[in-house]
Amino acid sequence: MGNTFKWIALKAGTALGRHVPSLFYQLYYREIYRQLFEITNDPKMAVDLSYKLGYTAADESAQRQTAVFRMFPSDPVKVLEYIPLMWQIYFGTPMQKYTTEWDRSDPERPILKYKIEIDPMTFDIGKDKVRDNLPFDQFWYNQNCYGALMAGLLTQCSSFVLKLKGKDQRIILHNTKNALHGDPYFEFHCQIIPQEEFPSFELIEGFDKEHYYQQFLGERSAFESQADNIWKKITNQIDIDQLDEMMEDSAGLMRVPLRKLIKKTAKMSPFELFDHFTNDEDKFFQVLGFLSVHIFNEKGQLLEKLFSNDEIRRVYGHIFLFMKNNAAKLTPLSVIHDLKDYFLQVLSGIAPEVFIQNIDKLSAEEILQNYYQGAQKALTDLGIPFSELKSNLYQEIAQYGRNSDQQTTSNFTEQQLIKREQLYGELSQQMMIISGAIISVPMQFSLMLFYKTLAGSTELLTGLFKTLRESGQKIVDILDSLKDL
Amino acid sequence: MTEPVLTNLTRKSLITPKMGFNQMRNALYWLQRIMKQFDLSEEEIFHRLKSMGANIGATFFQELSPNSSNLPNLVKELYKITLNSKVSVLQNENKLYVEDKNCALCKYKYEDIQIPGCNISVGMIQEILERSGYKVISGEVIESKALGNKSCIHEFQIEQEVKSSGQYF
Repeated sequence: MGNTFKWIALKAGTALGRHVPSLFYQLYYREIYRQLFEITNDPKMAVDLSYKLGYTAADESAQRQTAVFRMFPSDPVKVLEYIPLMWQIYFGTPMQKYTTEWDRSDPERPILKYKIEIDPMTFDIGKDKVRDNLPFDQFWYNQNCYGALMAGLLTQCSSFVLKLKGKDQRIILHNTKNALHGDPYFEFHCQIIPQEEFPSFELIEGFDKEHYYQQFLGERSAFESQADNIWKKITNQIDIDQLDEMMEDSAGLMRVPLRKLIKKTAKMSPFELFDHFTNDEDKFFQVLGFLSVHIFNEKGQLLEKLFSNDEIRRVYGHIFLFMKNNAAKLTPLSVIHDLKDYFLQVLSGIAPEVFIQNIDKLSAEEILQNYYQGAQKALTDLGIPFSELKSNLYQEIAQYGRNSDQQTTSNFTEQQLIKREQLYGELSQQMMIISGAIISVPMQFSLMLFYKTLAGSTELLTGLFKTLRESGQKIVDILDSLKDL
Repeated sequence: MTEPVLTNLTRKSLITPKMGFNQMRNALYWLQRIMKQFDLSEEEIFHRLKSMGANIGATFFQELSPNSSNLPNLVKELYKITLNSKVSVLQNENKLYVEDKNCALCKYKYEDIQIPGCNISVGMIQEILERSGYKVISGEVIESKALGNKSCIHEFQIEQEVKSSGQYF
């Protein structure tokens, strides 16, 4: 279990729940048993009713807080592993000094046993001789001891998660051992069972639950409704496993959306996709470069719009070739290695081992060149005429100057000539800004990795996008002004 | 993340850590429904809830060492220690009115329930006050969220003369 989810779940539990001192809880628990025992005069029936009472009371809460339960994983085995977290949410203290043991003798109905040394419900029971006077050792029915109410409560919570996720399995807990029953420790048997075998645990025969839940649904406070809405939004996007993975390391923030993107667009698992490129890894980086340009263009078709102007697409073509041909000079080797290491971390767990090993063997320069090749192909698709470009940017601009004013140069006034020089100066300045922005990306990325500032990736890309958009627009304006001269 | 770890397995060690109580609050109203199934009258259910509170108070008292010397402050402190409730207390002659806007035992009004859960709180505080040397003539729930009121208000009538201040403390 990741610490991030644990922290969030505990905070959510604290924010949405009313908490009382554990001692009040323990004594209240004892008094509920006293009442059940007194009105039934039967310890077995008291245990049976307390189990159903815990189950029904938790059901009422679950109906009000479905969004929180949606965060839990849908795999029943994983839900069982989260029992200690549920324990902590409901009983306030961590499940302490416990061991687990699987019993898979029936593979369809596996049991996870939690053997717990510390049970707050039993602390000092017997100290108050007048009131700790229940027949605790006789509280035993249907594999349950004094912890039956807790078992019923956790049965409802864990099964509610599976019900919400549309699973056809349920989880049933029993408090099979208890110090008050003469056992050396507290034990929960947590068993996964088929849905059709799950008992109804009906507490009050014929009770109209639907009508019952309706009466308090409108009574939620503004805070509760707001909190519920926030949880709904979060849980619609993320489930617990993803959240943990995203926050465990910096690569997780990239890995999770990458996996989602691959599943959504390629309709296959990342593993399958990367397997296609195994032993052909250079192609993979070409595809990556190709896709990154197209994905960038998806944001408002900025590149397409920018390249609709012939002069601009030529300028960008030169900038790109300059970057490609000087990649190793412009980008420090340590940065390239950092990027490669980061990429290997991202791939870990979602790509075949051979694929990762082969990528590790590629030099950083080879990776960059393959990436640029793919990007160049995409830029060609978007209109940059690489094959028609002049040998350098200066010739390109000079050519443009000739095209725009070849019939009118002689008619330029002195004022127009000064203006033209100014515009060429501004044009060079904007190109420098764009080049600088692009060139500085690897350096910024490196610093981001160094400091592990995950938020920095968004800031970096947003900044780059803003620079390209603003400078691109200024270039368009300048070129239009040149035309008007 | 700091977690409350229990090292001393005593009742006293359970006063500071807090437990989620939503499900257990619900349980109290389901317990009342069970009682009704066993043909217990509303009057009997009321007395049973008060008795549950008195038993909790008696055992809790053994672990308590409150600091307040004046009665209204003592009541406020007891609500805080036992229920984690921040209450306001109004003193009027020999009566104390306690208002709990976030009662641990009452939150919703149920159509089929007539006995507020906070009768347990009243029974508990009354028991602790008596064990602390105060003669409590009566303890009652005047208003309750379980009855549709905005907050829970408890009244304690104390035998010894209490100077009136007419203000919330």
